[in-house]
Amino acid sequence: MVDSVSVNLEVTIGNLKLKNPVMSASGTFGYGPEYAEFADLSRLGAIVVKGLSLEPKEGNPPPRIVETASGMLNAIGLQNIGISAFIKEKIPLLKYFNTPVIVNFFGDSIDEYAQAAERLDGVDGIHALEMNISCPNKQAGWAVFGTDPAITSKVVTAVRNKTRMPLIVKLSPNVTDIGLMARVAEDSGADALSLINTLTGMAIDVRTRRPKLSNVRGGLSGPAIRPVAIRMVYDVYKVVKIPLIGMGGIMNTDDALEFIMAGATAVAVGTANFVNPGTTIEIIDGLSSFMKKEQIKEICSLTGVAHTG
Amino acid sequence: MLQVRDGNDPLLKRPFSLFRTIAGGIQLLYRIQGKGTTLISQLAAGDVVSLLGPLGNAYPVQGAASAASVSPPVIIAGGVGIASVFPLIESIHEVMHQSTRDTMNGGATVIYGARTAEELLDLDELKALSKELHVCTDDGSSGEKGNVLDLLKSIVPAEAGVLPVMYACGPKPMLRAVAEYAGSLGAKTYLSMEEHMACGIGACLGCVVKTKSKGQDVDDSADIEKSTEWKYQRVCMEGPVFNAEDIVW
Ligand SMILES: Cc1cc2nc3c(=O)[nH]c(=O)nc-3n(C[C@H](O)[C@H](O)[C@H](O)COP(=O)(O)OP(=O)(O)OC[C@H]3O[C@@H](n4cnc5c(N)ncnc54)[C@H](O)[C@@H]3O)c2cc1C
Ligand SMILES: Cc1cc2nc3c(=O)[nH]c(=O)nc-3n(C[C@H](O)[C@H](O)[C@H](O)COP(=O)(O)O)c2cc1C
Ligand code: FES
Repeated sequence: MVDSVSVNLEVTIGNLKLKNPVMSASGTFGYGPEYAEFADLSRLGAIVVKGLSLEPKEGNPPPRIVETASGMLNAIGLQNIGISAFIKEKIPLLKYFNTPVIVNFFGDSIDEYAQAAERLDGVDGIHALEMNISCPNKQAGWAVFGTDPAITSKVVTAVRNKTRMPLIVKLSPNVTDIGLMARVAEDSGADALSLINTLTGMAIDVRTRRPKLSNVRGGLSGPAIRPVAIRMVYDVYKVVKIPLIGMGGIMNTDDALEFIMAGATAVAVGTANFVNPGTTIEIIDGLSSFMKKEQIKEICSLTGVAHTG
Repeated sequence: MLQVRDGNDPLLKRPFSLFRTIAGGIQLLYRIQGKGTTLISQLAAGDVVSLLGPLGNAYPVQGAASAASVSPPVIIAGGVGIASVFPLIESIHEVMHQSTRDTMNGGATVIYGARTAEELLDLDELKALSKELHVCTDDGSSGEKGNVLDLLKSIVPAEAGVLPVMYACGPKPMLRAVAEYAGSLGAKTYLSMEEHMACGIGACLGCVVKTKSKGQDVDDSADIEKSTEWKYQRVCMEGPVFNAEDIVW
C-alpha cells in the first residue's frame, strides 16, 4: 500500500540535524513569531531569521518594494533590531517552537563580521549561523563582499575563526562564476552554502521618469529568478562537497523538488511567504506525499539526482 | 490584503481598507489603478478570492466623541480614501446619536473630494450619516471646484475657537497638506497612510513610514534605537493610522 511507506525527511547541514529540509529564507519571515499564526513553526526544518548586525540598522527610505513580472524588487536596506536585542527579545520566544534557529548576519567590514560571529557564537537557542556576503564593504568603496573571491576568502576565514557553530555562507548570485565563489567559501571553512540571494535589479516609473525604489537598485526575488537559481545550484553542486541550501522563487512542492534534484540538501522559502504565509508547511506535506507516491524512503536520496544518468 | 488571483502575476496581495460590513459579508471599495485592480474589476459574482485580514490598527474615536458636543470631528477623504473613513463616519454617527440623542444632526463634518463627479461615492448615504457633507472636485463637476484643503480652511479657519479632532485618508500630497495645516492650528489629527506592501503581517519591513521617535510607543521589532530622533514604523502593523504630528514628511 502506498500509504504504508514510511518516509524520512531528515537532512543534515554541517552537524545540524533537521527534521525536514524546508526552512524560511532570511528577511522574508521576520524573526519567526510573526508567522506563528499562519504556520506551525514547530514543524519547520529550521527558522532562518532576518539578517542581523552588531548595531540596529534603520534601513532605506520608502518605497522599499516594487512588484515586477512574477517577482518583486526589495531595497529594505537590512533594517534590523541588532544582535543584542534579538538575543534578549526574540530568542526566548523562538525557544517555544523547538525548531532549530539559524541566525543570518552581516557586517560592513571584515572586522564587524568577525565581531558579530563572536557575539552569536554559542548563544543558547541559536543552532547555526548564516553569513550574508551580499552586502557592501565599507573598506572597499562599498563593493559587495561576495563578488570578490579574495575578500570572500578573508571574510569567511575571519568568521570561521570566531565560531564553532555550523557556518553557512550565503552566496551572492551577482557574479560571473558562482562555482568559483562557492569553492572559495568551502575552502575558507564553510560547512554549507545558501544560494541564491536576490539578483540586483531596477525598475523605472515611466510617468515620473524616476526609479521606482528610493534606493534606485533593489534585489529581485520570486518565481522570476527560479531558473537562474536552479542553474546556480546545479553548477555549484558539481564543484563542492558541502551541502547546499537552495532558494529563489520556490512557490510550491515541485519547485522545492527541482532545487533538491539540482543538488540542494535543503531548501528555503522566501517571497512565497508573502503570497501565502502557509507555504512552508504546504511544501513539507507536499514533499512527504511526493515521496510516498514515488516510493522514495529518504529525501536525501533525491539530492542531485538530475546530475546522474 | 487581497490576492487578486492565483498564480505568479500579479504575485503580491493588494492592500485594501474594510469599506463596509454588510449582512453576510464585507465590502471593499476600489479604484482601478493598475494590473491588480483591473483584474478585480473582471471578477464575477461567486468567484473565490483569498483575503488576509483585518490587519493593522483603526481610527481612535473615543476622544472625538466626547469633544463632539462642542466641535464635531472633521473627516477628510480624498478619492478612494473614502473607503477607509467610511466605517469611521458610520461609527461617529452612531456614537453621537447615542450620546447626544440628537437624531437630526449627529455625526461628523465630512469633507470629500475627488478629481471628477464620477469618482465620487453615492452622496445621499454620506449625507445621512454626517452632520455636514462638503464635496469638491478638481473640475467642479460636483460640489465646489477646488481641493479638500481649501474647504478645510474655510470650515476650520485658523481663528477657529474650539478645534475639532480631524481624520484624513487620501493621496500623500493631500495628507501632507492636511497635516501641515492641522499642525499650524494645533488640532489633533489622525492620518491613514499608504505604502507598498508585500506581507501585510509585519515581516518584510517593506511598508514603513518615517515617524518621530516619541510617536505612539510600540514595543515591536520594527522599532529601532530609542535614542534616535526618528524611526520607521510599519503601516501594516503600527498603522495605517498615525498621529499627523508624528509623521516625518
Ligand atoms: C492601507 C491601505 C489601504 C488601501 N485601501 C484602498 C481601498 O480601500 N481602495 C482602493 O482602491 N485602494 C486602496 N489602497 C490602494 C491600493 O492598495 C492600490 O491602489 C492597489 O494596490 C493597486 O494595485 P494595482 O495592481 O491595481 O496597481 P499597480 O500600480 O499595477 O500595482 C503595482 C504594485 O504597487 C502597489 N501599489 C500601487 N499603488 C499603491 C498604493 N496607493 N498603496 C500601496 N501599494 C500600491 C500594488 O499593491 C502592487 O504591489 C490602499 C492601500 C493601502 C496601503
Ligand atoms: C524583503 C526581503 C528581505 C530579504 N532580506 C534578506 C536578509 O536580510 N539577508 C539575506 O541573506 N537575504 C535576504 N533576502 C533574500 C532571501 O533570503 C532569498 O535569498 C531571496 O529572496 C530568494 O528567494 P525567494 O525568491 O524565495 O524570495 C531578502 C529577500 C526579500 C524579498
Ligand atoms: S507589508 Fe510587510 S511589514 Fe508591512
